[in-house]
Order: sequence, then C-alpha cells, then structure tokens
Amino acid sequence: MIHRLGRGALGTVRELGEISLFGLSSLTGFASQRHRLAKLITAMHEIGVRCMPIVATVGLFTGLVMGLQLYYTLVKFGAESALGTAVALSLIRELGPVLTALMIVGQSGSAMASELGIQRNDEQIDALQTMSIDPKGFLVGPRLVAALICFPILTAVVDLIGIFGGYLTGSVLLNVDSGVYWNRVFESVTWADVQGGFVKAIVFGLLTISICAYRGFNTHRKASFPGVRGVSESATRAVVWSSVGVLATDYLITSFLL
Amino acid sequence: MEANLSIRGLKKHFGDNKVLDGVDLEVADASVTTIIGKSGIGKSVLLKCIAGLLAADAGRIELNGKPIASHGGAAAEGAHCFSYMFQNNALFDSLTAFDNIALPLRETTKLTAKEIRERVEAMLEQVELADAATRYPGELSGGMKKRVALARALVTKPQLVLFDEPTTGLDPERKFSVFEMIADYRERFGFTALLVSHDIPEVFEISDRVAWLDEGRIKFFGEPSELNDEAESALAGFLNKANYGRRNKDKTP
Repeated sequence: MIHRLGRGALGTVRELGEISLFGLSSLTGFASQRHRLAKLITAMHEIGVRCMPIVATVGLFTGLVMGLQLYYTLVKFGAESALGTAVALSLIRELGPVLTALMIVGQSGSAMASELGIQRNDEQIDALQTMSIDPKGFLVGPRLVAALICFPILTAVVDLIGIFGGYLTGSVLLNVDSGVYWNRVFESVTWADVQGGFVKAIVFGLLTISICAYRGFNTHRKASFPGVRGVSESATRAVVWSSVGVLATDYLITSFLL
Repeated sequence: MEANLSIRGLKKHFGDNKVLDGVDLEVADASVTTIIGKSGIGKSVLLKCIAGLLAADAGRIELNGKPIASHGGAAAEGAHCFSYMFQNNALFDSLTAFDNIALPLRETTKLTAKEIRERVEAMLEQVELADAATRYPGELSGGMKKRVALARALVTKPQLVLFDEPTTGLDPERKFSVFEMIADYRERFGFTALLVSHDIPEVFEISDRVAWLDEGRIKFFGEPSELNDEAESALAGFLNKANYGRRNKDKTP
C-alpha cells in the first residue's frame, strides 16, 4: 500500500516535471519558428475567439446566480447594499479566472489533446520531425503564447459580464439601488484585485494548455490504451488533470496574494 | 550530390526484445535497396532509427561518411538530407495537397513564396496532381494520397528517401504504379532509395539490392537475381511463403 502510494507520488512529481519541461521547450521552439504571427493568430482563434461565446454565457449566468444568492444572504443582515462589492470581488479575485480556465479546458483543451493524439497516431508528428520541423514549437508553442494573451482577456470578459449579471438580478429584479450597486463595485475593486486575477489567468493558461498539449502529444506513450482509446484517454486525462491543476494552483496563488 | 548510407552495428531493443541486434548495411548512391523480412521483425524500426525517430542503443548511421544526425535540417536553398515516406502517408488533414507539399519548404527554407509556389506546382505536375492542388487529403483516393506523400518527400530534393511500406492498402494495379513511380522519380531526381516492402516479388523489379532482415541482423544482401541461389537457406523458406519461388518457377520457360 505504502509502496504503491510512494510510486504514485513519485510518478506524479516526475510527470509534473516533464510537463514543465515540455511547456518550456515548446515556448523556446516557437521562438525559432517561421511565420510565428500567422501561427499565433490561428491559435488565438482556436483558444480565444471560439471560446468567447461559451465563456460569456457562463459569465452571465454566474453573475445572475451570484446576484440572487448573495442578495438573499445579505438581506438577512440588512447588508444588501454590499451586493456590488460581493459580486465584483468574488468574480475578479476567484470565480472569473477559475471559471474561464475550466471553460477553455472543456472547449479547447480537450479538442487540443484529441487533435494532437490523432496527429501522433497518424504519424503526423513524426512526419514533422523528419521534415526538420520542431513539432513542439510548431504545434504547441503558438497555443501556449495564445493562452498567455487569451486567458486574461477572456477572464476580463467573464468578470465584466458577471458583474453585469449581478446587476440584472440585484438591481433590475430585486430592487437594489443601481447607483449603490455600481458605486460599491467601483469603490471596492482595487488594481491589486484585477492584477491578482490576471496573474491567475496567465498561470492557468500556461498550466492547462501545457497539460492538454502534453497529454495529446504523448498519447503513444500509454501502451495500455492503443489507438482511438489512447486518444480518448488523453483527452479525458487532459481535462481532469487541468481542472484539478486549476483548483490546486488557485489555492496556492490565493495564499500568496492574500 | 552523392548519398552513400552506411549502417554499422545498429542495435535497438524494447525491454527484453532485441529487435535490431547489430545491423550492418551499405546502401550505394542512387540505388534502390529493399529491406524484406517477416512482419514485426524490425524493418520499420530500422528505418525509424535511420530517420532519427527512434534512438538506437548502439551503432553508427552515416551518410557520406558523416553521422546522419549531423546533416541537420534543410539547407538555405531548400535541400534536405533525407525524406521519409510513411506507410499511412502522414498527410495533414487540415492542409490541402498543395499546402502539404509546401509545408517543409515554408517551414525550413528561406525560399520566397513565389519560389515555393513554382517548386510545388512543378512537383504537382510531375506527380500528375495539378488538378488536385486545392483538395484536402480526405477528398483524395488512396493512390493520390500516396502521390502527394511522395511529392512532399521529394520537394526538398533529398539525397536519401526512406519508404516505409509505400504500397500498403493498395490494390495490385496501384501497387505496381507506385513502384513504377518510385523507379521513375529515382531516375529523374537521382536520389538514393531505401524501401521496406512486403510485396514480393513485385518490389524486386525496381530494386538494385535486397536486404533480408532476420533475427535482428541483415542475413542476406545482394541483387534480386542472387535470391535464386538461396534455395536451401532459411531465406528460401521465407521467400517460398511469400510465393517468390513458385512465381519465379512459373516465369522460367
């Protein structure tokens, strides 16, 4: 039992190290690629533009639900005027970056792991290598750089739409004064809160895209899951590992920021 | 440009399974050498070691007297040291035939867009796929995909081309045309070809040399005509199973 636990822990640490090196070598590989801007735009479309509708929808409903839940909690203490503060800080500090990362993992991360897994099984990644093209720099590097740009932008979208959702339920439906709501939002949110949210978004972006790409890229290394099963296994593990990674890293970063 | 491939004492094992156990092979410039052997004996592993896709455990692989890895990527003028044609073509589904062929030139050479377009269009003409330039691999037949893969392998003007079972999944007529194509392009472009094939005896028609891989080593290396002298050996048993002996006798008057 202890032997198995120890082996599992060592394996996880080794894999985390491999994922870090994988991400690093993909970024350095991208630096030596040709047509970097074109590749980056394609990757930004994949991660940013395609995820925008789902991320915006999630932001809106999160704000709506928060407005509802927090109003009925705050009203018990006669503090419903603090609704704007509660919604804005919860979203900007925590929910915005975390929900954005989880949504991007669900939409783009799983697709990326599957795509890379299929490319691995079809020997397309080997083909790149025989053509003297660095596969990591070519396939993964642009996505990592795109994540650095898109995650903070999408997080900002979730934050803004979520705060607006809180306003819709709090002020429009439940009659919290709209002036009070927006005043509390602007008063309570500091630049440090926004910065903290963006730091999280950047870290989550690097972490999740590295994990998803690593899983897909190394599909062939799972001998127990050959072929199509290997691809589905890679996609599943990519989503699970990324989601757990986001939540664990969120805790770590929050402890440093507070 | 000459392309003499020399392999000395190449070893590769996976766990306890010694797949290559001291392979020695000399492939002469501008020749076609075919590696034959049972399925799973390590023919593709040998090609992948040559291409650098698998790291050999021991041994040396040299092209023109230098380790093949030291030949590096493409030269500025767009010439590669070697190309690899995969068994399943390994074409990029999201790229058109044109873009698949242009990919190594765009990504590894300093050729201008105009030069790349001219070279790819010329290659498409040569493989008779000019009309299919804008079609995606999913819209191409098996034979057309092979030709796109071949064009991609040749567009960088390689000295050495490695073919991993280039006729897999093709009907007899298409197999014959792929072999004809390889022989024809070898004549035109002058590259050295190393093939892995199960198509015995058809592949011997285009082969200058045949290498028989068995038990991790090259146990026969010679001209196809010399195979008839191996009547009593284990190679004869392999060839008989591949119908070579019977078909060869049928041809004898």
